[in-house]
Amino acid sequence: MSGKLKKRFMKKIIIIAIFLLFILTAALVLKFIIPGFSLSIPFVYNTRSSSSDIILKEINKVSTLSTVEYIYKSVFPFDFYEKDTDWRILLSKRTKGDKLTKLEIENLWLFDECQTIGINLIYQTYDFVVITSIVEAGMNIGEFIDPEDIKIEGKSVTLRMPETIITNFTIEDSDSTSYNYPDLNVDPLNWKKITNYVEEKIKLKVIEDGVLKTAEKRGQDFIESILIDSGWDNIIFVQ
Amino acid sequence: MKQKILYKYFLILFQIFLLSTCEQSTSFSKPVIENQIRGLLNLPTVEFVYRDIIYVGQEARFFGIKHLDKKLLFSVDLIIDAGIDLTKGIEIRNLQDGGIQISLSEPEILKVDADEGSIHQFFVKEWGGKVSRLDYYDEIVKSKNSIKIDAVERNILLKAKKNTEDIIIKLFSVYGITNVSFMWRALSVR
Repeated sequence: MSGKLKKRFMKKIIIIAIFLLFILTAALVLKFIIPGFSLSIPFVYNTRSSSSDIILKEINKVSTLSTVEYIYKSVFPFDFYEKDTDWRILLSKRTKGDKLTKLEIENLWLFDECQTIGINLIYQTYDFVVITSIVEAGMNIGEFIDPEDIKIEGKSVTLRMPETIITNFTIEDSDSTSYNYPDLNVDPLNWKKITNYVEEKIKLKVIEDGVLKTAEKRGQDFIESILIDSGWDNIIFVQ
Repeated sequence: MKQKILYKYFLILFQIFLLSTCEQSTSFSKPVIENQIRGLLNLPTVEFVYRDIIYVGQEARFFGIKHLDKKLLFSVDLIIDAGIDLTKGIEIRNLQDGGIQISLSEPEILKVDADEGSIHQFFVKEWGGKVSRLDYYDEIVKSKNSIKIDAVERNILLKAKKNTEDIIIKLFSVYGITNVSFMWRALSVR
């Protein structure tokens, strides 16, 4: 390369450099003068969250805390039939071959099962078995809130909450150290029949007793607490 | 010479430019975050609901003749809450590595309540003696103590600790801080 060409090349470089310097300086001046002016470039992440995104994050914080554990003891057979059930009438209906309702069929199954383990329901009985079940209830994380379930008006937030469901159900095995009641001779086969029978009924009973409502209220209390601390004035929960 | 100065000026300006494009992590104020922690931990972090079955059986014989046979079976609902006693204080410390250390007292059982309106009697047998109202209450007090032990065996305190840590870690993550450690102060024996 001749000296003349080299000089012309260097001149071009300097002009480009001055041009770039001018742009950089202008950008920096704008950045510091104009509030909110952003110098985002593709390889630098700059995230801005909307209010509903922030609320979602806040709710996520408390989702696990809404869980309620219910240690539910039930008494077999007393918890599983109505006190005023007339066993004699039921038995005679069966003997006569009368049409039985679903409830009557279930009651007769219960009666027979009790006979097998030595409880006669026709007479006043003081024999029973205590069954311990663990029921966990909490927010249905599967259908968790998305931004459309959040409405913001000024300082007020309306939330459509996910439903609360039973997340876990188990019937505990008891041993002689943890069972503090008179023992009744029930063999493993009958025990299995009894626990199978009571499982659905216990689930329905704990829902009736309000375990889902307790979990829902707990979740709402936590969400309300965290959102009010974050500066919201009014939190409304809708289904 | 001129070119060298220009080159250096260019480099410095470019570095300033790059630095200014990086967003600073949100700063947080200790009193604000402490209030948020207090607000959340004010609620018990774990709640167990019990339906307990209480059985009272008393039998007495004199020369082989039964003269007392009392039997009582009833259910009662109880609620047990575990969490952090905030009156024992929260400390938030900045660590040298940029992390945060939270010092809290160990979780404890905050409340055991029996709902007397939930009592449901299955049967009562009073032969040779009556079952009094006080008998019920004595048994409920005993039940409160036994479910406290049962709840601890079911790891209520461990769950309370885990929930507390989870919630604080998630709270700090909003501020861009992921290095959060905990110092648990042992409960003083009363």
